[in-house]
Amino acid sequence: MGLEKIPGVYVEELSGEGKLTVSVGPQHPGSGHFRIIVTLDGDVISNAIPDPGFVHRGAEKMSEYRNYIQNIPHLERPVILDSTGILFPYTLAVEDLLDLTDKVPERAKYIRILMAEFNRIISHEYFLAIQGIFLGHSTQFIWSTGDREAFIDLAASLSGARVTFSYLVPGGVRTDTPPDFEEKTLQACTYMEARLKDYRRMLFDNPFMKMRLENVGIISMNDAVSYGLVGPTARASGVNTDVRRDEPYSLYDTVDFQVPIRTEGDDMARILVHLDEMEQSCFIIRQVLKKMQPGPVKFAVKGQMRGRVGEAYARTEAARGMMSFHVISDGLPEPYRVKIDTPSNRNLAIMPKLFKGLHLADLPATFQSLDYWPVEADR
Amino acid sequence: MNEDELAASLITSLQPLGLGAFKSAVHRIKISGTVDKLVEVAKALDSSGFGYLHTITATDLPKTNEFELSYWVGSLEDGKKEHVVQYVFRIPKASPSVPSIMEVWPAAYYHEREEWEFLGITFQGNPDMKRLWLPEDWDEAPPLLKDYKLQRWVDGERERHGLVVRGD
Repeated sequence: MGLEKIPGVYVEELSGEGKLTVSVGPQHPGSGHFRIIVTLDGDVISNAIPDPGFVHRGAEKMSEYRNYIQNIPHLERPVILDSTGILFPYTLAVEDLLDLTDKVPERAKYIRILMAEFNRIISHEYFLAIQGIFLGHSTQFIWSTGDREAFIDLAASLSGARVTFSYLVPGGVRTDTPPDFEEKTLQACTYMEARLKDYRRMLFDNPFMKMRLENVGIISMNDAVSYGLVGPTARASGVNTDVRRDEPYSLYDTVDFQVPIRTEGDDMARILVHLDEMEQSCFIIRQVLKKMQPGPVKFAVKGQMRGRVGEAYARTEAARGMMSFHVISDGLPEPYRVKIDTPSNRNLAIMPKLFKGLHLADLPATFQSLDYWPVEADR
Repeated sequence: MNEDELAASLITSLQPLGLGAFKSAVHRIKISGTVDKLVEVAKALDSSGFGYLHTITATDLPKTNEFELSYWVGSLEDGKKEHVVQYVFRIPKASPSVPSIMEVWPAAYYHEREEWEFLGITFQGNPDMKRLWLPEDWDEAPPLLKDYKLQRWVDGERERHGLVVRGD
């Protein structure tokens, strides 16, 4: 059985065995265009083939035609919910190539952390909202979509945009914080921390949710490592990884935070890791606001940016996990080669193994619990 | 463990293969080698704590008619997890064939398919060297080759798609 049998056919009965092959997708089921071709034995999945690529737009090739600044807006497009997450490693890699790493002002580094954590909360809230849809729980969708607004407004007050912020640039950040930013940020954090308690009480201590999510879609720790999983998906299986702590960048070593780890490895663990991370993000934001001192927010690069001949590899912890950029420069204003390694692309690897043996009814919730974003994987 | 200590310990574990390792940047160790040692290097890295494959980058080098492949491998062990090891080698474009490392790290499956699709490098041992990201009817050259140029829509095509053509 292969992909070539599927186009145009939605359900196909395979000869003799009484199994059905069903194409799940590629409509937009909540997280982007993506298809899983599942073979069903009764309602149990006996084989699953993920079929990504419906939203591939060649971001790596396009990057070779644009200079380091022009690349910023289009590189965000694959990860619009976490645009700081994808720009952070890009900016660090470009700064390495332009020898700007030591010239980024301290205030800019702190604002970058703020923006990255805002984006983490925005992305995690969206994850929870879509998880609600996939479970048929519309309250969760409405709550999470509404609560993200607090942080979207903060990010918009910094960058001027609601979705793709284009806020990080080589040398610093685009603008300084507006007046009364600190007060509004603290309000948003207080609100979010209270809401997270509501989420737990209403949604995740709920016996029906537990029945749907606990002991479903278990990923073992060994699998998580050998399949190269990252981010909340890996941490829910007991893999102790977080680039913010392992290889601190941009003054993350000066703030105190914990990396939430769970060992169950099921759908519920993956969701609860997201909740814990949002709590930690608020904790980080509060510390950063105390540490920030007035000062410049950008080192202005004079003239055309040209990287040295060489390569740079930078990685950061985006909302969905480790995001890395390998940028190769031959000294021209445009990069010679840009390799984007996104967390969704890495978490894709576990899908065939994870979905095998699940009931079809558990597929949506398990798929979403991986926080897989098709556009991010396709690039 | 700093980069130099780590490089020294990796040189020891790569001893039978006769490869060197050195610090290429902060927290980055570079090992240059050849394609025929790839699987053994992967196994050696895996047993010395670097068992967390990040990504594979392949680059087209038309001047020397070669491909350069970088395998980026991280670690989850204390003292090593801040470092990323890069294994680099070049292969001639005339015979773009590389052994698959799926037996060491199943994570390589999609990375290898990606490099096959975008640069035309075959990975021996990967069962699915077929289209994934590009359209199923893609019949042009692999797009990340340097002689594949980005295409623009010409006026006739735009009109056929119902787009208004202004004087640009």
